[in-house]
Amino acid sequence: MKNVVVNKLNFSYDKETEVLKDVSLEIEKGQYVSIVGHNGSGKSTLGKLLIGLLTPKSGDITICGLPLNKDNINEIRSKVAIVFQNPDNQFIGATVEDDIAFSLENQNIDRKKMPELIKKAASDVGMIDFLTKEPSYLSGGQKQRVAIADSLVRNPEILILDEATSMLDPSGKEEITRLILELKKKNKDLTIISITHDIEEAYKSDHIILIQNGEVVLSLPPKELFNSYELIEKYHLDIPFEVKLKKALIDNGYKVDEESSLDELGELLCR
Amino acid sequence: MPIKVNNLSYIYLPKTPNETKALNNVSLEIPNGQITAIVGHTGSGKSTLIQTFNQLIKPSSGFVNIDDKFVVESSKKKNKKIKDLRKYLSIVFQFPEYQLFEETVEKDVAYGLKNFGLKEPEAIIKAHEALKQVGINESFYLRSPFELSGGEKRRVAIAGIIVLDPQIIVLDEPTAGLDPEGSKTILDLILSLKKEGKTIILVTHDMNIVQSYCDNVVVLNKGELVFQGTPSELFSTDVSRFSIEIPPLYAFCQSLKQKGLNLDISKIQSIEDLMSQIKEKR
Ligand SMILES: Nc1ncnc2c1ncn2[C@@H]1O[C@H](COP(=O)(O)OP(=O)(O)OP(=O)(O)O)[C@@H](O)[C@H]1O
Ligand SMILES: Nc1ncnc2c1ncn2[C@@H]1O[C@H](COP(=O)(O)OP(=O)(O)OP(=O)(O)O)[C@@H](O)[C@H]1O
Ligand SMILES: [Mg+2]
Ligand SMILES: [Mg+2]
Repeated sequence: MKNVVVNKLNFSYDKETEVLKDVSLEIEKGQYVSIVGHNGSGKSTLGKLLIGLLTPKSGDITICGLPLNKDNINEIRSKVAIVFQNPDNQFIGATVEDDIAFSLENQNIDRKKMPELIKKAASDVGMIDFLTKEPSYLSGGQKQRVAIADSLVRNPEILILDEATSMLDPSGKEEITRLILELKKKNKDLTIISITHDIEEAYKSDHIILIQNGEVVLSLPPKELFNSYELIEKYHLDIPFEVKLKKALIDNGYKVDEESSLDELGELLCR
Repeated sequence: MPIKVNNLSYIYLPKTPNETKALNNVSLEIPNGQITAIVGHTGSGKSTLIQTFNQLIKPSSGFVNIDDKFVVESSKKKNKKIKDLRKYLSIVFQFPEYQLFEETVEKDVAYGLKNFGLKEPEAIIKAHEALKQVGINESFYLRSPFELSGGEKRRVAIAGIIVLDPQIIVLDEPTAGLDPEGSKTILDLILSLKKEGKTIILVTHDMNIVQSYCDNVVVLNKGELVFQGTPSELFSTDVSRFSIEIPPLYAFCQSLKQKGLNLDISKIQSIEDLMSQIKEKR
């Protein structure tokens, strides 16, 4: 089943410049999709449209089978969680604990269960010792962790991450990825939409959507994208280390198999 | 004349229930004319440390000596040279939003220059040059800096510091949120500033950048200094205890060495470097 359907979406902030142009896309339930594209291409704008924070100029959006409109918006927002690119825009509460509690509002959750859920979310992201701290007084990475807890605590059907781990240290990034994959194991239907510039991360997802100047220009599985030097060059994409290395070997006259592992490439160089 | 950090400690919200010891007796040196990375776990004190360098915050104890020209210390005395210090050492913040406040992009970038006494037309011309260097074209000049995408904001914030032409430039996660081409533009800009003789300090989590661009690296852990040396010295120690990840190129070179290939990894900053060392061996 398709969980997100966007049909001929157009949007502009100021009526003059078109920010999104005829964007159409479909995302399967339970898929992990990366959205990539250059700065200013329209990725965050698309994210905000998907949760109804911005209103399209034309076109329509269907989330979990419901058309996004005034009547459905509350129901849709209870199913979708977003982590904003700037975590400061996420915070409402005066303490980390309050902030996570706020995200549980309107989620039809038994009040008695809330403290337990809040504690679990905070400890999942490694912020249990910070419950009484003010979100604005945290370090950059700590803010991002709290913003992630805010959305995970709601147990969403669709999770939109807008560069949610851009300021985390490598092990922090890995922890969060593991956490999300665990969630996905528990709930096979969880759909993840991750806006990212981290090409190694996008490489691990099920599907990549590339946006350029407000248009969807590519939508395909990562392997297909990174096995095509033509596409990589055409769209000025960064490439994962493994792919970069293969290309360098080929350029230096080595015979490289598309499927070879890093270890096999190493053997080739040592021969 | 390096930057010398001496027994520096910093406590946020002292004597309150939320008191946080962010830096604990840190001593280190940052050499002139080179690129130094500051790395470490979330909350390890990186942003706090750099904010003491131009006295955005005052040490709780200890001091920082900047090129023997300025001293930042804990005393209550007013630092008369603070304006000169901030002109000599400027910081691009981790969140560009903290740095943007003017009504247009060009005014925002020109703000610091005007503050240091430059008149309007020259300041705007210089602002335009700096914006070009970070990949922001003229269609942005008259737009509001608040109505930009995340990566566009970061570029404008970087331009606002580069334009001041400080001797020491400190950048807190300058590539977070930048697209790959934008990262490359900024890193190349940093390299060219180094060639001009500037001292660059980068806070980053990206070990690829540390390997490929930095001369030195400092590691903080829970507010304490735990390592200081070159990138290849760092990656050849057990880094997992600092939540640092060995960059894929370094890890691959290590695996080649284990397979018996004789490489000088400390000289390898790119795949091209690796390929040419292999060729030489043949
Ligand atoms: N509030 C706003 N008002 C007017 N224009 C805006 C606003 N926010 C963004 N824009 C413009 O819309 C375009 C798309 O912005 P968006 O934030 O969606 O980009 P993005 O793909 O998320 O980029 P980045 O990778 O830098 O975060 C950009 O050109 C940006 O300048
Ligand atoms: N304004 C503040 N008030 C109180 N505590 C603060 C403040 N800023 C930072 N802290 C705390 O001080 C410690 C160090 O924070 P700092 O911002 O220096 O970390 P960092 O190494 O830059 O981390 P990150 O990689 O997440 O940005 C953290 O525990 C943080 O919660
Ligand atoms: Mg964005
Ligand atoms: Mg920081």
